[in-house]
Amino acid sequence: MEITVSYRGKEKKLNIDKDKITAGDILKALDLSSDYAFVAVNGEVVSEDYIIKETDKIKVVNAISGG
Amino acid sequence: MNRLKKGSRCTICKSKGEKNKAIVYLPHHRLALCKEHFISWFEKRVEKTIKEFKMFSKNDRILVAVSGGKDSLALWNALVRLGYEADGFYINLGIGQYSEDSKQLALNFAKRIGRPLHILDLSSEISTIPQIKESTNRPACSACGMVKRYYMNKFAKENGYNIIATGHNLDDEVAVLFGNTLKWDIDYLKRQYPVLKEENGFIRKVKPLCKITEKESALYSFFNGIEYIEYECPFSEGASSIEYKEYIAKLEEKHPGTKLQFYTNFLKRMYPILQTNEKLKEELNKCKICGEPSYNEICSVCSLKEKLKTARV
Ligand SMILES: [Zn+2]
Ligand SMILES: [Zn+2]
Repeated sequence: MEITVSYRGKEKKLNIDKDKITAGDILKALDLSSDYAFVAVNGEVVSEDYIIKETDKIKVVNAISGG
Repeated sequence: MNRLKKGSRCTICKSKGEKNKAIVYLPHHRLALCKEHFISWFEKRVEKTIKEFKMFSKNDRILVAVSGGKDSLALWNALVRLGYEADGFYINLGIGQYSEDSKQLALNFAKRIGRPLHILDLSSEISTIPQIKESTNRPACSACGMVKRYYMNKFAKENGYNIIATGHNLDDEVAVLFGNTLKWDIDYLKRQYPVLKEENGFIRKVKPLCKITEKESALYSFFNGIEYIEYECPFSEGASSIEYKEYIAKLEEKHPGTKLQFYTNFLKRMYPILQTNEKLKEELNKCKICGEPSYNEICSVCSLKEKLKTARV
């Protein structure tokens, strides 16, 4: 399944070879740890076991910065 | 439990007999929180840190170093909500689109909370960061850090602020501590404290987010609808601090609390030992040109200015 996520101010397409994709799968596909990243769906933060629906607007926030 | 499971309830709501769903889980504090209780937990933790390290009080005039990133805006928001007198200070570094975007976000936020944002244009004071990098062969980040510290201190003094607050978070402090420990850089370790006292022409500098993780800071900004710059400064790509943070995150995932312990035990156990062994302090002079504190006759910013002048000729 291909999904589009908003990541660091840009749209990013992800191809995840699964029928049911969870928020955790998205973090994994982007090689992000839940220690510093999270997924928001339709403006709400979701847990990693949340299953993505086709109409969901997905945003991934990676908190790490070089500062 | 290491991560949030669907259907978990907020720990604080539960203790009050309410049943709100948790949307954040903080493994290192063993807390599952709803949005509202996460926000109040965050602000209480910042307040506690301010008190623990005696950073400042409601009588102080605080200047927040605002970059347009999540940490500085989260800090500014929390300080104002906690009732402190905190204004913003943004330095336009002249780094193309990155500076334009971050300045706009900082301005939008200032308007939203109704506090003044002072803006200093580096190009009219000295030169933009890309120009400095080009004409001095100095790594951009080290020159940038140096000029930021200089103008922040100068501006604060000239405008009646007695505290500078920066948005450094726990992950920043841990990454720096880790790097300095790998090198056993005693001179840096000796100075790694969330409060740098005012002395010799420097005003007091504090880090109220030093016990807040980067993720907590991002969540706080997200829940408060704070729009911040989400992409990195083009010069900071490949910074070693990011690499350290990724290694440390792997440890933290397996052993929640590692980061906090590494940092707080350093402050409690190691930092005092480093102070006793201090050699005679180097004498701090005043820069012959601008009067700011300096170890040499001419401070590093003034000598950078000289260099830029000759480079232009
Ligand atoms: Zn709650
Ligand atoms: Zn000078």
